[in-house]
Amino acid sequence: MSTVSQHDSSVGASLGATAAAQAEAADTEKYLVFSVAQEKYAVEVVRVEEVIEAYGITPVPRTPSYLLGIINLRGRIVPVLCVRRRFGFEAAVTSSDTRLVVLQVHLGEEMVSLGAVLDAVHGVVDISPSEIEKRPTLGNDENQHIAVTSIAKHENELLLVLNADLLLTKEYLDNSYEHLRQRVVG
Amino acid sequence: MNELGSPLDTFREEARELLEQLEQHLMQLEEDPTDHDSIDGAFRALHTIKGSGNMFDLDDLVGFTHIVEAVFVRVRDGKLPVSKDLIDLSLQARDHISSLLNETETGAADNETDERSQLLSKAFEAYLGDEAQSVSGEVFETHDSATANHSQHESEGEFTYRIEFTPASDSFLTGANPLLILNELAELGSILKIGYCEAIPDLKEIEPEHCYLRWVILLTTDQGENAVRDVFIFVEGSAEIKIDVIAEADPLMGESGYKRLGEILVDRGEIDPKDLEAAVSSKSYIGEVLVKKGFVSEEQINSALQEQNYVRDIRENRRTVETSTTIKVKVEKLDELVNLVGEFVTMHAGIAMVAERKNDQDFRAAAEQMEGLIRQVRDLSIELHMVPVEILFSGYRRLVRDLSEDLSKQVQLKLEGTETELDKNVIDSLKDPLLHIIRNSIDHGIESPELRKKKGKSPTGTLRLSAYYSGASVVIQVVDDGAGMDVERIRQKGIERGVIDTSDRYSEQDILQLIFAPGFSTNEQATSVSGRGVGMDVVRRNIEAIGGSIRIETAKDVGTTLSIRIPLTLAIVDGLLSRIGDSLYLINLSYIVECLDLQDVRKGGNGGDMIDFRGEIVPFLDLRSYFGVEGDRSEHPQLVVVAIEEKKIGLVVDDLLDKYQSVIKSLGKVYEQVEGISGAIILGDGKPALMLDIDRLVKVTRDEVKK
Amino acid sequence: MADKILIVDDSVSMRQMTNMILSGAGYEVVQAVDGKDGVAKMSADIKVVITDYNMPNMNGIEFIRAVRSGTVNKSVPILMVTTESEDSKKQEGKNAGATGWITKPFDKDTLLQTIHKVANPLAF
Repeated sequence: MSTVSQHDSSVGASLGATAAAQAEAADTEKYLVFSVAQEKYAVEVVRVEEVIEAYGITPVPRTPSYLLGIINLRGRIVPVLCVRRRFGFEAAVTSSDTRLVVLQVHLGEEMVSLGAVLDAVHGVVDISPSEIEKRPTLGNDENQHIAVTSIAKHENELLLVLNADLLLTKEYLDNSYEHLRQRVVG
Repeated sequence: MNELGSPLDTFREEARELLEQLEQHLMQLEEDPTDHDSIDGAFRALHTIKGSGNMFDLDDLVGFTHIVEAVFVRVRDGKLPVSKDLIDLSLQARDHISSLLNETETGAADNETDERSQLLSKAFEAYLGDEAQSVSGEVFETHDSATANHSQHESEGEFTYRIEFTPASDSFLTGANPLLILNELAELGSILKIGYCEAIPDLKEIEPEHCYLRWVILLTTDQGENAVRDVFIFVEGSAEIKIDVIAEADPLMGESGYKRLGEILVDRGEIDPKDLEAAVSSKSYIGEVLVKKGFVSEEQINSALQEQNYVRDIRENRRTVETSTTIKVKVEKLDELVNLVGEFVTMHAGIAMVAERKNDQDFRAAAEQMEGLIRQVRDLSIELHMVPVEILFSGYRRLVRDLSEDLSKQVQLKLEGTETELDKNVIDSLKDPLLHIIRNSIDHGIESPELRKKKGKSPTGTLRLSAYYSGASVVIQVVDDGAGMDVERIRQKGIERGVIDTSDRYSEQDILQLIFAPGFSTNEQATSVSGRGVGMDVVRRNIEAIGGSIRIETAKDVGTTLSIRIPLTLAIVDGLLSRIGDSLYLINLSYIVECLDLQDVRKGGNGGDMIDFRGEIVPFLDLRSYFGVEGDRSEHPQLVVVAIEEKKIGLVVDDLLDKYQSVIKSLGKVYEQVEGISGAIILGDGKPALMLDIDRLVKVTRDEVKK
Repeated sequence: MADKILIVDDSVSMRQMTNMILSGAGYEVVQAVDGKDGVAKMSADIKVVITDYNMPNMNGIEFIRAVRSGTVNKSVPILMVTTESEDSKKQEGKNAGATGWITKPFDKDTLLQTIHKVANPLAF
């Protein structure tokens, strides 16, 4: 948490210049900015439960490779997913920037906590709806862009807006397990 | 005592205590207006306040108290019944005496109090109004106080008597066997016998026909003192018998424990009060001092201690009985309690591990003591958390009614064993699986009324939900009298899917278990109600997640019975921690048959996939390869033999660590489909570890062998 | 050695008061909280016993009976303290074996004179 608040202040400083311009855009949303494989993403802060260091993960065997295991979050068992792997990249070596962001996501009919391991977290920004564009559908949406539904142009930077619910869907999960079973049988 | 202030200060303090007692007696009388002890107590409190107050010329106080006392004399003598009004008035009087008492301190007598005194006095005098008339009747009603007391002991309520019984030394010769008397006493109520052997002489001096024993007997009985005395009727002349009431029925008396050790000894005349006083003044334990100084024997001390405990217990029980009412507690609070206790247990397991590692004797002893305590708290909280399955069962009435209407079927729901209790968490976890099973039964099991008639059955089908205890488990059954399952069709389906081969080595139960396989369906035509049978794998999974198992029995056109066996509680599991690679896994102790060094076990079978376990050929599973763990194998792998319903397998792990008690937490939806893991625990260092799904592993291993 | 007097009374303030009067007059005082305690504290060297009538556990009358029928100092002079309202108890006390009585409230002189009277019957 402390890391995030540090980032917070640095983001806050850079925001200072445009504060006046944004003052009238009252309906801005707060987004958490993070990066995965050299690309910057943004996810609604309301979905973020917590940002913590990515350690203390107990692996669970016989699960899809993008599932890293479980952590103990103050007595609760929370599953952890590797965003890099989920997006089809090679898993990165854990660095001092690596973070675990606990998100609230819909899975089937349930709302669950899901830990997402990311390369780095940069802070929180205010994005107004006018800065967000729906992303044109691409031909092959299999991997890293599967969960990205729109793009935000914020301070001359492109941010891929992550729809947290699409990070892990029931269908995708069921398919993964099915693959796994067949692989084990085969 | 002598360091107190002036006698007047002492009096005030004493009077305040007496007013407290008065209030308690009045409250007791409100409940039981005939309680003699309380009437006596109320009277005595007033009497002492008046009598002592008189010595200090406290006229206002004495004058007022006198009138109240006079009324209680009438009550005590049975001339005036205790009424609600009288108690109200007496409570007011109590408060007024208290203010009068305060005035003796402040010295401020004000008019208001005077007026109040007069007002209340008048009210009390009204109760004395017919004093003169009742005098003529007094002659007939006179009791001497001893018999009045006596009749009290004869009356309702339990008393505890201390009976000191010293049989005559020749009582064996006269045929009066003291043991028979003791037995007879035991029939009157609950009894504590303390035998004294101190009079037994040296062996060579013993006369075999002499009785050297004496007893102190504590008897709690609702029989009167006369009934107790009657027991001794034949030995009365020769034996020494002393009977005292040491604990009364009055529950208020019991609030402050029992007499002190010294008092008991004095009561029994075993010690001189002066010696006691001397002993009390020293700081050590009174019992020790008394024995050391030779005032009493250790035997006497022990006996007095037993009396102390006995009376305490009796009073404790009495209070429990009297206050044994139910209170309502919010379920959330109970949940929280059970959760916290679970965390407590988990944390203690962590502490015990640290204690073990540090190898500190004191630390370990403390951790062990704590364990005992935690176990008690745990058991109690689990008990609090049990609810009857009725709550679960009756929730399905509506479902059954609506469903049968939707499907144009006639179904009668019968509930059995609804009083069977289960952990509320278990009940919650059963809600969905049972719903699914019931849906299936009505949808696929019970036939339409027309079809049933054709089969010669009653047009109304019966669905029975029943629950019963079976060892440390509860079995819940869903029984329908429907069409039954078509085993042959399930077999065909299994063969089609390549799950089983065409050989005939599968038992009916093996084949029936196929319906719990993921995605296995026998119904080509999905209905809106039960879907396509996808539910059954989830049902099994949910039940296994709470440590349960499920069995099917079916007969064509007779019906289907689904039996779910679940542990009484799933709050906490006793397990054995084992290591596989870098991870720790918990194995539920209740499934473990034995742990062996793998080196000591003879392997056999095709490709060495079987072991010889005490003459039995048992398949085994190498968890390292099953879980795909990389890295070096342990030099001394361990074999844990587990069994589910007599079906044994061996599990190979790298190392066995400690026993570990923990709350089992669900892995959640993301890991719902994992094979071989049924939940997670949190270790002492805060890291999660996984719980092995023994039921699943047994099945997988044995299926593997069949192939 | 000072004469010993046993006070049997459940009221602590009464005991303290009586104790003050008696100690002031040079007596040695033994206190008991009720009849039972009184019996227990009875000893051969007690010159006079002063007992309250109304007490828990064992009242004054029962106490007197117990002393008179006991073995220790059974003929010791016993004074029973009663209140005016307990006039009828005086006879009962006498029957039980009380030597005399004194009515509450009493003053110092009355108490000391009465004790003197019962302790030295030949003085009159």
